[in-house]
Amino acid sequence: MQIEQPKTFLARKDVATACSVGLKLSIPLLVDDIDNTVMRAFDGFPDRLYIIGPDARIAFQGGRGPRGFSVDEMETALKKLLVAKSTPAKD
Amino acid sequence: MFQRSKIIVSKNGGVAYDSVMRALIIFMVLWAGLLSAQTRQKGAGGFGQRMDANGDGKISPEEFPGPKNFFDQFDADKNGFLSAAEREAMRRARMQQGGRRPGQGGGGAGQQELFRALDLNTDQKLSAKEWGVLLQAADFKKADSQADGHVTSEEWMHFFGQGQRPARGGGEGGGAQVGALAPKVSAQFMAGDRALDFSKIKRHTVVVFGSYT
Repeated sequence: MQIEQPKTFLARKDVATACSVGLKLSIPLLVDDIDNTVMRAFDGFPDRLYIIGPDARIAFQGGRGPRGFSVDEMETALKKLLVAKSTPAKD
Repeated sequence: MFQRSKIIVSKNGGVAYDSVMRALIIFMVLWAGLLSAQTRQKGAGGFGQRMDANGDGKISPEEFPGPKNFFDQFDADKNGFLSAAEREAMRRARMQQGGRRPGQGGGGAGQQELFRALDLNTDQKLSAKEWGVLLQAADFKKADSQADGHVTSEEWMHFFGQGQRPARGGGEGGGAQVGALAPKVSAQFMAGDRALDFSKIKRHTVVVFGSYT
Protein backbone atom coordinates (compact mmCIF):
# COMPACT_ATOMS: atom_id res chain seq x y z
CA MET A 1 0.00 0.00 0.00
CA GLN A 2 1.23 3.50 -0.72
CA ILE A 3 -0.36 6.60 0.66
CA GLU A 4 0.33 10.04 -0.64
CA GLN A 5 1.56 12.39 2.02
CA PRO A 6 -1.42 14.43 3.15
CA LYS A 7 -1.10 18.14 2.64
CA THR A 8 -4.03 19.10 4.84
CA PHE A 9 -5.21 18.04 8.25
CA LEU A 10 -8.51 16.82 6.83
CA ALA A 11 -6.67 14.63 4.33
CA ARG A 12 -4.65 13.22 7.20
CA LYS A 13 -7.85 12.44 9.09
CA ASP A 14 -9.01 10.51 6.04
CA VAL A 15 -5.83 8.46 6.20
CA ALA A 16 -6.46 7.90 9.90
CA THR A 17 -9.92 6.60 9.08
CA ALA A 18 -8.42 4.21 6.55
CA CYS A 19 -5.93 3.10 9.19
CA SER A 20 -8.66 2.49 11.73
CA VAL A 21 -10.68 0.45 9.27
CA GLY A 22 -7.71 -1.35 7.77
CA LEU A 23 -6.27 -2.39 11.12
CA LYS A 24 -9.72 -2.94 12.67
CA LEU A 25 -8.76 -0.74 15.59
CA SER A 26 -11.01 -0.47 18.59
CA ILE A 27 -8.85 1.98 20.51
CA PRO A 28 -9.12 5.74 20.28
CA LEU A 29 -7.14 7.32 17.48
CA LEU A 30 -5.62 10.77 17.64
CA VAL A 31 -4.38 12.65 14.61
CA ASP A 32 -1.38 14.95 14.79
CA ASP A 33 -1.64 18.30 13.04
CA ILE A 34 0.02 18.79 9.68
CA ASP A 35 3.05 20.34 11.39
CA ASN A 36 3.53 17.13 13.42
CA THR A 37 3.48 19.16 16.63
CA VAL A 38 2.84 16.24 18.97
CA MET A 39 5.29 13.95 17.18
CA ARG A 40 8.02 16.57 17.49
CA ALA A 41 7.28 17.24 21.15
CA PHE A 42 7.52 13.55 21.99
CA ASP A 43 10.16 12.75 19.38
CA GLY A 44 7.92 9.92 18.35
CA PHE A 45 9.26 9.37 14.84
CA PRO A 46 8.95 6.81 13.29
CA ASP A 47 7.23 4.90 16.06
CA ARG A 48 7.51 4.92 19.81
CA LEU A 49 5.71 4.01 23.01
CA TYR A 50 5.07 6.19 26.02
CA ILE A 51 3.18 5.81 29.26
CA ILE A 52 1.84 8.97 30.84
CA GLY A 53 0.89 8.76 34.50
CA PRO A 54 -2.21 10.19 36.21
CA ASP A 55 -0.08 13.14 37.26
CA ALA A 56 0.51 13.93 33.57
CA ARG A 57 4.18 13.05 33.97
CA ILE A 58 6.08 10.73 31.67
CA ALA A 59 6.20 7.35 33.37
CA PHE A 60 7.82 5.41 30.54
CA GLN A 61 9.63 6.34 27.36
CA GLY A 62 10.28 3.51 24.95
CA GLY A 63 13.09 3.31 22.49
CA ARG A 64 12.81 4.69 19.00
CA GLY A 65 11.36 2.27 16.49
CA PRO A 66 11.57 0.06 14.70
CA ARG A 67 14.18 -1.83 16.67
CA GLY A 68 13.59 0.05 19.89
CA PHE A 69 9.84 -0.33 19.72
CA SER A 70 9.03 -2.98 22.31
CA VAL A 71 5.50 -3.76 23.43
CA ASP A 72 6.88 -6.26 25.95
CA GLU A 73 9.05 -3.60 27.54
CA MET A 74 6.10 -1.26 27.76
CA GLU A 75 3.86 -3.96 29.23
CA THR A 76 6.44 -4.70 31.93
CA ALA A 77 6.65 -1.03 32.83
CA LEU A 78 2.87 -0.71 32.81
CA LYS A 79 2.41 -3.66 35.14
CA LYS A 80 4.86 -2.17 37.62
CA LEU A 81 3.14 1.19 37.50
CA LEU A 82 -0.32 -0.22 38.02
CA VAL A 83 0.78 -2.55 40.82
CA ALA A 84 2.56 0.33 42.55
CA LYS A 85 -0.57 2.42 42.25
CA SER A 86 -2.80 -0.28 43.70
CA THR A 87 -0.44 -1.05 46.60
CA PRO A 88 -1.10 1.16 49.62
CA ALA A 89 1.94 3.06 50.82
CA LYS A 90 3.26 1.86 54.17
CA ASP A 91 3.40 4.38 57.00
CA MET B 1 2.41 -1.95 11.24
CA PHE B 2 1.27 -2.39 14.82
CA GLN B 3 1.53 -5.67 16.60
CA ARG B 4 -1.46 -6.94 18.44
CA SER B 5 -0.76 -6.70 22.13
CA LYS B 6 -2.19 -8.71 24.93
CA ILE B 7 -4.21 -5.77 26.08
CA ILE B 8 -7.92 -6.18 25.78
CA VAL B 9 -9.90 -3.22 24.57
CA SER B 10 -13.44 -2.78 25.74
CA LYS B 11 -16.26 -1.28 23.73
CA ASN B 12 -16.01 2.14 25.35
CA GLY B 13 -12.34 2.40 24.43
CA GLY B 14 -11.13 1.58 27.89
CA VAL B 15 -8.60 -1.15 28.33
CA ALA B 16 -8.72 -3.82 30.97
CA TYR B 17 -5.26 -5.20 31.31
CA ASP B 18 -6.49 -7.97 33.51
CA SER B 19 -9.08 -8.45 36.18
CA VAL B 20 -7.19 -6.59 38.89
CA MET B 21 -5.61 -3.83 36.88
CA ARG B 22 -7.07 -0.39 36.59
CA ALA B 23 -8.54 0.27 33.20
CA LEU B 24 -6.63 2.65 31.05
CA ILE B 25 -6.98 4.13 27.66
CA ILE B 26 -4.68 3.63 24.78
CA PHE B 27 -4.28 6.32 22.24
CA MET B 28 -2.58 6.16 18.95
CA VAL B 29 -1.14 9.33 17.64
CA LEU B 30 -1.01 9.14 13.92
CA TRP B 31 1.17 11.18 11.69
CA ALA B 32 -0.06 9.21 8.74
CA GLY B 33 1.00 9.47 5.20
CA LEU B 34 4.71 10.08 5.54
CA LEU B 35 5.43 7.61 2.76
CA SER B 36 4.70 9.56 -0.34
CA ALA B 37 3.56 7.92 -3.51
CA GLN B 38 6.19 7.58 -6.16
CA THR B 39 6.42 10.62 -8.40
CA ARG B 40 3.49 10.55 -10.72
CA GLN B 41 4.61 10.09 -14.30
CA LYS B 42 2.73 10.55 -17.51
CA GLY B 43 0.38 7.64 -17.89
CA ALA B 44 1.62 6.21 -14.63
CA GLY B 45 -0.59 3.83 -12.76
CA GLY B 46 0.93 0.74 -11.22
CA PHE B 47 3.64 0.06 -8.77
CA GLY B 48 6.37 -0.48 -11.38
CA GLN B 49 5.22 2.17 -13.81
CA ARG B 50 5.86 4.87 -11.28
CA MET B 51 9.54 3.86 -11.03
CA ASP B 52 10.07 3.61 -14.79
CA ALA B 53 11.38 7.12 -15.29
CA ASN B 54 12.42 6.65 -18.93
CA GLY B 55 9.36 4.63 -19.87
CA ASP B 56 11.29 1.74 -21.38
CA GLY B 57 9.15 -0.85 -19.63
CA LYS B 58 11.80 -2.05 -17.24
CA ILE B 59 13.34 -0.80 -14.01
CA SER B 60 17.05 -0.14 -13.90
CA PRO B 61 19.08 -0.02 -10.68
CA GLU B 62 19.19 3.76 -11.08
CA GLU B 63 15.41 3.98 -11.26
CA PHE B 64 14.90 1.66 -8.33
CA PRO B 65 14.53 3.63 -5.09
CA GLY B 66 15.23 0.80 -2.70
CA PRO B 67 18.42 -0.84 -1.54
CA LYS B 68 20.52 -2.70 -4.11
CA ASN B 69 20.27 -6.01 -2.31
CA PHE B 70 16.50 -5.75 -2.57
CA PHE B 71 16.79 -5.05 -6.32
CA ASP B 72 19.15 -8.01 -6.77
CA GLN B 73 16.84 -10.27 -4.81
CA PHE B 74 14.04 -9.81 -7.32
CA ASP B 75 16.15 -9.62 -10.49
CA ALA B 76 15.54 -13.33 -11.03
CA ASP B 77 17.23 -13.57 -14.47
CA LYS B 78 20.13 -11.36 -13.32
CA ASN B 79 19.99 -9.17 -16.41
CA GLY B 80 20.33 -5.99 -14.41
CA PHE B 81 16.71 -4.91 -14.88
CA LEU B 82 13.40 -5.67 -13.24
CA SER B 83 10.85 -6.92 -15.71
CA ALA B 84 7.09 -6.70 -15.27
CA ALA B 85 6.98 -10.23 -13.89
CA GLU B 86 9.82 -9.53 -11.48
CA ARG B 87 8.11 -6.33 -10.35
CA GLU B 88 4.92 -8.28 -9.73
CA ALA B 89 6.85 -10.75 -7.59
CA MET B 90 8.26 -7.83 -5.63
CA ARG B 91 4.81 -6.32 -5.19
CA ARG B 92 3.44 -9.63 -3.88
CA ALA B 93 6.34 -9.92 -1.47
CA ARG B 94 5.69 -6.42 -0.18
CA MET B 95 2.01 -7.18 0.29
CA GLN B 96 2.93 -10.21 2.33
CA GLN B 97 4.92 -7.94 4.58
CA GLY B 98 1.81 -5.94 5.28
CA GLY B 99 1.59 -7.23 8.84
CA ARG B 100 5.12 -6.25 9.66
CA ARG B 101 6.34 -2.95 10.94
CA PRO B 102 8.70 -0.78 8.91
CA GLY B 103 12.22 -2.01 9.19
CA GLN B 104 11.25 -5.59 9.87
CA GLY B 105 12.24 -7.94 7.09
CA GLY B 106 12.79 -7.05 3.46
CA GLY B 107 16.24 -5.72 4.21
CA GLY B 108 14.89 -2.63 6.00
CA ALA B 109 12.82 -1.62 2.99
CA GLY B 110 10.40 0.24 5.23
CA GLN B 111 13.13 2.41 6.68
CA GLN B 112 14.46 3.03 3.18
CA GLU B 113 11.07 4.28 2.11
CA LEU B 114 10.98 6.66 5.03
CA PHE B 115 14.39 7.96 4.02
CA ARG B 116 13.24 8.56 0.45
CA ALA B 117 10.15 10.38 1.69
CA LEU B 118 12.34 12.87 3.57
CA ASP B 119 14.82 13.20 0.70
CA LEU B 120 12.89 16.01 -0.94
CA ASN B 121 15.51 16.88 -3.56
CA THR B 122 16.24 13.17 -4.22
CA ASP B 123 19.99 13.57 -3.94
CA GLN B 124 20.19 10.30 -1.98
CA LYS B 125 21.11 12.06 1.25
CA LEU B 126 19.39 14.14 3.87
CA SER B 127 20.42 17.67 4.64
CA ALA B 128 19.85 19.16 8.06
CA LYS B 129 16.84 20.98 6.63
CA GLU B 130 15.31 17.80 5.20
CA TRP B 131 16.01 16.00 8.46
CA GLY B 132 14.38 18.78 10.45
CA VAL B 133 11.05 18.37 8.66
CA LEU B 134 10.24 15.62 11.12
CA LEU B 135 13.22 14.93 13.34
CA GLN B 136 15.12 16.76 16.01
CA ALA B 137 18.27 18.63 15.11
CA ALA B 138 20.23 16.96 17.92
CA ASP B 139 19.62 13.58 16.32
CA PHE B 140 20.93 14.79 12.95
CA LYS B 141 24.39 15.18 14.42
CA LYS B 142 24.15 11.73 15.96
CA ALA B 143 23.14 10.18 12.66
CA ASP B 144 25.75 12.09 10.61
CA SER B 145 28.59 9.77 11.59
CA GLN B 146 30.84 11.20 8.87
CA ALA B 147 30.17 14.72 10.12
CA ASP B 148 29.95 15.96 6.55
CA GLY B 149 26.68 17.77 6.90
CA HIS B 150 24.54 15.07 5.32
CA VAL B 151 22.98 11.81 6.38
CA THR B 152 23.37 9.12 3.79
CA SER B 153 21.14 6.09 3.46
CA GLU B 154 23.76 3.98 5.17
CA GLU B 155 24.05 6.41 8.08
CA TRP B 156 20.25 6.49 8.31
CA MET B 157 19.97 2.69 8.52
CA HIS B 158 22.77 2.56 11.05
CA PHE B 159 21.13 5.24 13.19
CA PHE B 160 17.78 3.47 13.36
CA GLY B 161 19.35 0.04 13.52
CA GLN B 162 20.89 0.94 16.83
CA GLY B 163 17.39 1.12 18.24
CA GLN B 164 18.15 4.30 20.16
CA ARG B 165 17.18 2.71 23.43
CA PRO B 166 16.79 5.13 26.32
CA ALA B 167 19.46 5.31 28.99
CA ARG B 168 18.75 3.79 32.38
CA GLY B 169 16.10 5.83 34.06
CA GLY B 170 14.56 6.73 30.75
CA GLY B 171 15.32 9.30 28.14
CA GLU B 172 17.90 9.46 25.43
CA GLY B 173 18.27 13.14 25.03
CA GLY B 174 15.20 13.42 22.87
CA GLY B 175 11.50 13.62 23.39
CA ALA B 176 9.66 13.66 26.65
CA GLN B 177 11.86 12.40 29.46
CA VAL B 178 10.73 10.14 32.26
CA GLY B 179 9.61 12.17 35.24
CA ALA B 180 8.98 15.33 33.24
CA LEU B 181 5.52 16.74 32.69
CA ALA B 182 4.01 15.65 29.40
CA PRO B 183 4.43 18.33 26.74
CA LYS B 184 1.63 20.85 26.58
CA VAL B 185 0.46 19.83 23.14
CA SER B 186 -2.86 18.58 21.85
CA ALA B 187 -4.08 16.24 19.17
CA GLN B 188 -7.55 15.84 17.79
CA PHE B 189 -9.48 12.63 17.99
CA MET B 190 -10.05 11.02 14.63
CA ALA B 191 -13.75 10.85 15.36
CA GLY B 192 -15.40 14.14 16.21
CA ASP B 193 -13.84 17.47 17.05
CA ARG B 194 -12.59 16.81 20.58
CA ALA B 195 -8.93 17.20 21.33
CA LEU B 196 -6.65 15.75 23.97
CA ASP B 197 -4.22 17.97 25.85
CA PHE B 198 -1.42 15.62 26.89
CA SER B 199 -0.46 17.85 29.80
CA LYS B 200 -3.88 17.30 31.38
CA ILE B 201 -4.01 13.54 31.34
CA LYS B 202 -5.34 12.18 34.63
CA ARG B 203 -5.10 8.42 34.24
CA HIS B 204 -2.43 5.99 33.18
CA THR B 205 -2.32 6.28 29.43
CA VAL B 206 -0.31 4.40 26.87
CA VAL B 207 0.52 6.48 23.83
CA VAL B 208 1.53 4.71 20.66
CA PHE B 209 3.22 6.79 17.99
CA GLY B 210 3.12 5.41 14.52
CA SER B 211 2.21 5.85 10.92
CA TYR B 212 -0.04 4.19 8.45
CA THR B 213 1.52 3.50 5.15
